[in-house]
Amino acid sequence: MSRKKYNIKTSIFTFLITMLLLVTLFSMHLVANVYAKYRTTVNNSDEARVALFNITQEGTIFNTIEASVAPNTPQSVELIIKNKSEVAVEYNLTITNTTSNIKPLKYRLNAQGTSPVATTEIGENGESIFKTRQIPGEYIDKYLLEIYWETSENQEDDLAYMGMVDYITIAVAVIQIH
Amino acid sequence: MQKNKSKMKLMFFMFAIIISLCAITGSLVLAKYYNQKSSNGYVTAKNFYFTSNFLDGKVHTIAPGINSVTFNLSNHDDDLRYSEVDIAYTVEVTNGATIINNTGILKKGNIEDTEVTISNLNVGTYNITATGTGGYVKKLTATIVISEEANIYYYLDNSSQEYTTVTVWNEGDKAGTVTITYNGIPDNTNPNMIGWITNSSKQVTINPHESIVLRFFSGDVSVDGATLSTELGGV
Repeated sequence: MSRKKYNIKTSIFTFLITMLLLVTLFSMHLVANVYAKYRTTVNNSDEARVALFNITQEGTIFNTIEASVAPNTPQSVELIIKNKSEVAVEYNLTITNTTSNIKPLKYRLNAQGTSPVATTEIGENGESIFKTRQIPGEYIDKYLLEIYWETSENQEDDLAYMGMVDYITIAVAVIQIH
Repeated sequence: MQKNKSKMKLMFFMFAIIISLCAITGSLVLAKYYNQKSSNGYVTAKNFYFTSNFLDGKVHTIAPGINSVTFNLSNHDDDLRYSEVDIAYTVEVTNGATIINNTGILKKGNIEDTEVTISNLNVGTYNITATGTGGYVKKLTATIVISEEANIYYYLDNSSQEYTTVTVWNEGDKAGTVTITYNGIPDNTNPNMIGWITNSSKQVTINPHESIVLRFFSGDVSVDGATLSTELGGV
């Protein structure tokens, strides 16, 4: 008895839903016809795709660096970033001195031409970190990384570092920021 | 029991779908492009040798009469270790001496020496400083001392009734000559007076830091070119 009752309820529910759908479809058809009277033809097409990220890094910075420096006689290596990206990016150059024998040794990243100027900071482990950002577009950004050594206050102190060697690693990362 | 199991399965299935959707959505939102390139290298501090065979930081006493000193400035420590930078040098000296070749450049990459001469040296003290610059800076110094020339004194003792003794000595760094004039008889037994004759004069040479004693029997004695010493009370 209860099962029969349940079937009737279900049927009523199904019927109502079906009717509602039919009414909706019909009303959509009506509305479409009504609006069609005022409609002008508009054709449009679009496509969705993933934003382009096209980065090429090159320059003498990626050769094995064999720098030989003395106070006030810096040595430079070149970094070129060819950027054809549709996203804003951050250039992040990190120099790690794994031996730190030559204490006065420093680094400077000089932007060439209209390349964005980099900010400098010292990382937790003593790395020299240079950061700058570039908006989407097509750019060739050029930088000169200078490895330099400023003369000490007591000039003859520099002689203590003569002949010493430091091993460094350089990592250039280009990261999407938006 | 069966119903509970089905319910659990359904719940697990729905949970898995939700997690998958979250992961896909999350990755779409969080994934960012990343491009990294790296390199290794080393940095060497260039060698810098600026040396001299004379400028050793010490005091050099030069014999009187020498009025110039020549020394080398070099860009190496030995035959194998030489400077990897050009060295521009400048030499300065106090007390008005003249320097020949006081500035110049010692080229890198090979052993190179240059001669510097300090001239017009007279009695006195001269401080020499050579500064080499090639990124690094190094100063080399030395002091030259030229003593006064012969510095001769004499002491005449005629306290004895029988003879007069004259002691002549040289406190300088160079030999000096004095003339002894006497009116009396020289003591020819004295090794310093062999061959001397009566009533005459003789030139005597006294080496640095040496002294001689002369003895005369009667007569006056004078010593030219020396200073009478009053050290012992004089005469």
